[in-house]
Amino acid sequence: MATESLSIAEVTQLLRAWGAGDRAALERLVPLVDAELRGLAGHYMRGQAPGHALQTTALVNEAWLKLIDWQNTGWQNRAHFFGIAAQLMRQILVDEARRRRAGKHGGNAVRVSMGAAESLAKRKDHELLALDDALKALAEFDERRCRIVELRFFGGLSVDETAEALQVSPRTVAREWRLAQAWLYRELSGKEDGEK
Amino acid sequence: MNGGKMDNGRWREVERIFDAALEVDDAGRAAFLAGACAGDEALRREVESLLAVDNKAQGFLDAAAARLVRPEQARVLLSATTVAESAQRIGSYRLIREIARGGMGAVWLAERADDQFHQQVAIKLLKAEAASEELLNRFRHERQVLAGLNHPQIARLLDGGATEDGRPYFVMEYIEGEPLDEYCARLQLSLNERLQLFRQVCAAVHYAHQNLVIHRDLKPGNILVTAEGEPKLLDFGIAKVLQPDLTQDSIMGSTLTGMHPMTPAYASPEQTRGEKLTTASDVYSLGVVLYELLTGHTPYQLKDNTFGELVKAICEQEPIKPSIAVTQSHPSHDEAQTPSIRNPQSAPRNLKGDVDSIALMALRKEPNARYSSVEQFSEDIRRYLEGLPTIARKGTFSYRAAKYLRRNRIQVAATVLILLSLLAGIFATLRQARIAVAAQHHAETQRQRAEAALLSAEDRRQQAEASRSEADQQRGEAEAQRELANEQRAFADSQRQRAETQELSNRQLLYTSRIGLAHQAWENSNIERMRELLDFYLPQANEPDFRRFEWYYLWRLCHREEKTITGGDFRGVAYSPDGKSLLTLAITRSNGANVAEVVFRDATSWQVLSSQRYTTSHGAVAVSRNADKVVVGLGLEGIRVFSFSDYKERLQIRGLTFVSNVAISPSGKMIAAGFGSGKVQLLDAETGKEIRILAGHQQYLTTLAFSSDEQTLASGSFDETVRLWDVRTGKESRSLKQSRSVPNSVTFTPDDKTVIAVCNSELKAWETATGKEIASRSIAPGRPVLALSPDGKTLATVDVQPVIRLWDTQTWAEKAAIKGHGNVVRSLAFSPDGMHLASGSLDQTARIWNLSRNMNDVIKLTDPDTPSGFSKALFTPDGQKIISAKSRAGLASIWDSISGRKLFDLRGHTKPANVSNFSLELAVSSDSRFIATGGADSLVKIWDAETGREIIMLSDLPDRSTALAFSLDNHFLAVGTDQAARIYDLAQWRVAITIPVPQGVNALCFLSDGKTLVTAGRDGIIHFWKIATGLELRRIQSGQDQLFTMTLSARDQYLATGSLDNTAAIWDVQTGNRVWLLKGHSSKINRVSFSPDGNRLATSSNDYTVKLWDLTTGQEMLTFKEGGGCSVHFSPDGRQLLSACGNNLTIWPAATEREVQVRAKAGNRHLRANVTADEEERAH
Repeated sequence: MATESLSIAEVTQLLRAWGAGDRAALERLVPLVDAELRGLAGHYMRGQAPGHALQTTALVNEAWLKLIDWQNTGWQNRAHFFGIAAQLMRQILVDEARRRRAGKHGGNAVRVSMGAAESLAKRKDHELLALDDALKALAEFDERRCRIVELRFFGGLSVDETAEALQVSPRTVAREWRLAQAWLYRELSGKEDGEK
Repeated sequence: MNGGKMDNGRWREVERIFDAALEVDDAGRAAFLAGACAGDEALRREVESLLAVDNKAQGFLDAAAARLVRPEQARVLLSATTVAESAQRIGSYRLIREIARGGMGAVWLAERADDQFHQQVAIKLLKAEAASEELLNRFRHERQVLAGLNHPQIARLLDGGATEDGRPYFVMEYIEGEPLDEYCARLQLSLNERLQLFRQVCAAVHYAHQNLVIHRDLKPGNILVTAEGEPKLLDFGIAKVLQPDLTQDSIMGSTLTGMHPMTPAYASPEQTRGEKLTTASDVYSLGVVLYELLTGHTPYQLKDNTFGELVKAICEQEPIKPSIAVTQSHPSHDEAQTPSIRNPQSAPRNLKGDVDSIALMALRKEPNARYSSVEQFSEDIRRYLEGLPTIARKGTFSYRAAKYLRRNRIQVAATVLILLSLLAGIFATLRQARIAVAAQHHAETQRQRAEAALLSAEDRRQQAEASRSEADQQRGEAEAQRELANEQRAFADSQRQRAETQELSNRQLLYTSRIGLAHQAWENSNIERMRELLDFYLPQANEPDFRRFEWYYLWRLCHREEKTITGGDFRGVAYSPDGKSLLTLAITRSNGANVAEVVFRDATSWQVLSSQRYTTSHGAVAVSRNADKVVVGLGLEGIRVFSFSDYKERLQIRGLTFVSNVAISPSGKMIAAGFGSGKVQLLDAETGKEIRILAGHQQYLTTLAFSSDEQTLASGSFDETVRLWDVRTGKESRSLKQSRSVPNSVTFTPDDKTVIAVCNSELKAWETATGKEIASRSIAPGRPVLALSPDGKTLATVDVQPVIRLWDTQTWAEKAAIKGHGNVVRSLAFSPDGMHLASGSLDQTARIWNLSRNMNDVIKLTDPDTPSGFSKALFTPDGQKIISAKSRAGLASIWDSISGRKLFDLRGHTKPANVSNFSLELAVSSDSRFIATGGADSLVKIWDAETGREIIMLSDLPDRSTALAFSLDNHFLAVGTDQAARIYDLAQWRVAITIPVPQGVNALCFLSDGKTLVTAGRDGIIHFWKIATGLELRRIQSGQDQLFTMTLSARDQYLATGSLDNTAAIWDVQTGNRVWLLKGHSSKINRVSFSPDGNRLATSSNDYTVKLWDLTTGQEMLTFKEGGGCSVHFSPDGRQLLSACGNNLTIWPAATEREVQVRAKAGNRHLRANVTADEEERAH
């Protein structure tokens, strides 16, 4: 595959470029992570006991780890890097859901009925976008809490790891996580019930 | 939000009150809130509403993450950027319009998107529900078979696969035409025309059957007739892809799910019952098609036209004769059929007899009773068309008779009784006649009547006889039928054998490519994949064993550990100071939480001695070298100290922040703990009390190590420094590192003189006293770990590539590279005796390596006396010794092949000053006792292989020797030169004969009869010479350029040659035919060697590689890139491949069958006891 020929330095550079706002860099990065992810996912699946839930984000993080020289990139530490990875994950998922919602209304002739699977996917997209909106609102008045949610939800980090990433104590993370969760829950369920 | 726009200040208040309210119990909460909010109602409502959902909200994000951020979804999402543009495209095809739509999906007209001349194709696009991995696999498997169907009347399958959203599709040749039945009806074809057309259909189906493909879904809709009147069959074999085994999925079930590809009206009885399908099922379906063409009806009359009724009819009801059916109308079917179909051209009288029989024979319920092939079916129609008697008609009597007998045994018995009574009647008449004569009354009348009766009896007798001869004739016909059937069976048998041979060859090819993949996996360090590929060929009962040298070679590479322990991400491994037990620390997931499992095992039996679990996802381990203690750091769970004497916890230290790493002093008195913040704390290992804090590192602490004298502590951190601390004062004594890379693991040498650290992409060593850098080596980036052997001489490191490297700490040279783990290795530990290395990995295993074994991929022998210049090497026939040659030095050596020690140097040749291209030739006698050497000095010497002493020198050669060979009986030694082959009689020490070979001899060998010498040389011709006369017996024109090397396989079966033109070739010695031309090397081939079993050829080339070839398929198996080039030789047991080049003799060893079996049996059990003997035998 042509994509695999990118060196670690190049990947690192692309990732930096993305961090600096270059959206085109993401387009080049995604197939790379994907390829790595396929390998890892397969690897994990085989090694995993049946019924063992697999954490996507852990996978994605491993994929990044394999791709880049994270210790030599100016990121302060591993956790800091995973903070970036979490942001990236959020971006990818939300963009995709948004794109899908905007793009595919009916007109596509190739479609034979997709039935239940499609409506399920739509609902998920909806949920994801709602969460993204709520997070944006939260960030308006509590940036750090938003980051905690991002790291834990999109980055798959544990409380400890999140604490490490944000240079605060795990206790603080646990405490802030609780209120964040309550607040988001209220916001999201409120929207669903149509109160607002 | 309730209560308007939130700002940061207000939110802080909400937060403060919310957090505090959680501490208050429900009862007091309202009062608390009232007080805390001090009349600010909006604030109170805000906090209340959050508290109200707090309970429900717990864990909701985790659940949502599990639902919304799933792996497969993420994968699809990550690659989704490419999906949108492909909406109107499938593969490389652009969809044009929908042609048809059915239960399974839709058929589209499409064209190649990248094609200039717009080839149109039909794409069958299945519904999303049809997609399954299994189906796609089946498709891939079938595709090759189907792509091979190349017949003008069969629409070709061009491509297929799955769309981005996972729907399977098939790309077929696009046929413009109309269904067979509609075509016949529209053109009002006559009976004969219909039959002719039908025979063309049969020809196509028969072709497919010969290629072992059954259609399984023949019906008029799958048979299109083009404007030119040519029938074309669609969808061949697709039914099999969609439904490979009907027995696994009953017709009812699958019809309900809409998955079933078969069309019930055309299904055979066995098909509706879900039994195994054969070509006879297609015969049946064709029978239905024919029946419809003849009558306009399907063969059965149904009342309700339900599916169940149809199936019952197919299995039980006899079809109505076409001649009768054509006169009837099926009331129930009229509506179901397209009106135009019912256009029976055939008048009843045309159908009666042969055509009835033909159609009904194809439609018989029992597959064996139908036509034995579509060809026979078609042939019978031809016989009918040409007015010849048909098999069906002839067959009808015996078929019906047999059926009749079976059904009506009682009726048959009744018929026999009637016959008997008839005979009795004849006797009665005769008696009556005699009575008439005696009475003389109406004598004449009576006599006449009697005679008439006699006549009529005679008549009957004749009739009886006629019918007997008819029966005879029918028996004859039945026998002819049986013979025909026998012939057909024999044909089928030969077909099957051919198919089996073909299959075996295909499987060999598959094996070859899998070996290639396994080798590639090895080079990519993907050991797991490699094992998977190899395990596939572990022999199964009744299956051919494809495994040869290459398999055993690769198997050894990936099974070199002594023990594998599974279960979790192994973050820590440590041996007890006495080496008797091993501690592992593994992170696993249990009930959704990360758990660190600390397990003690017996290091011999591997029995679990004790195990503890902690809820944490972090772990680090350190052992005190001289005390019985081991310390475990567990992130937020704190620190535990265990004793190796009883494997119990001796000390628990809690209440710390995140413990990232630990160390324990050799005496076991002091613990150092490193934290996420970078802080280091010294603790008393008995009490857990803090001794002092070592402050300095600013970031996450990665590693800690005590010096042997316990005066110094070394530490590493994400702040990219390695620091040394004075343990007594807690002061930083030195900072060792400036370069920008994070030290991940650090240690002191046992003499404390050196500090060694592995950092992100480098290995570094410093003098402890001065901080001077002693060594720096770059390693693959990642999170490397290290372990130092107890004697300090060997350092083990491992990086992101899971390759464990062993370094010599004196020279800092790499000693060995051990592959085996499938993922990042997180921990390493030497056993106290330095003999074993334990490694723990993210691949969910910890492995134990026996370092006393050869851990290298290959065995390399070096010559301490004359290090360079190896040019040739071969095993002695007894396998005990290796003979090497160094052309430039004129030096041959004898080695012990078991120990790898050099035994003797054979010095006796000197390079003449005027010769630049010098080659020292070697040969060993078949009894392994004598070695012959020949050089550019025109001398040939024979040496005693036991003592290394020169026995005789042959100095009468006019020219340099270019090749040497002993005859099998050791009676002769042949020496090749640039002009001749000279044969010495070794019994009499004289020249037996000199055969002039003007084009020179580059290689020679004796046939095993001892009477024929074979030579090869510059002319590219293989010459066979009679030794007694020196006359050329025959020659093989190789077609290759200059031949440099040649060898015979066992029993003179094959000859292999290697040429200047980079090719090797295999020749059948008997016929002189070339069996294979082996292309792959990029330079001259200098040596070839057959494996002892004759299944493989090894070649070495000046391109510095050695290649291994499979002689059943002529395919390249493996390429050895390192160490090869100047020569190659299989060991007599076929377990080792030897090459010489430059500074080394290189041996590629293969595992023994026993090792494989022991491992296969033992599974995960410890292998040391069983395998050691074998292993030691081969450890050089």
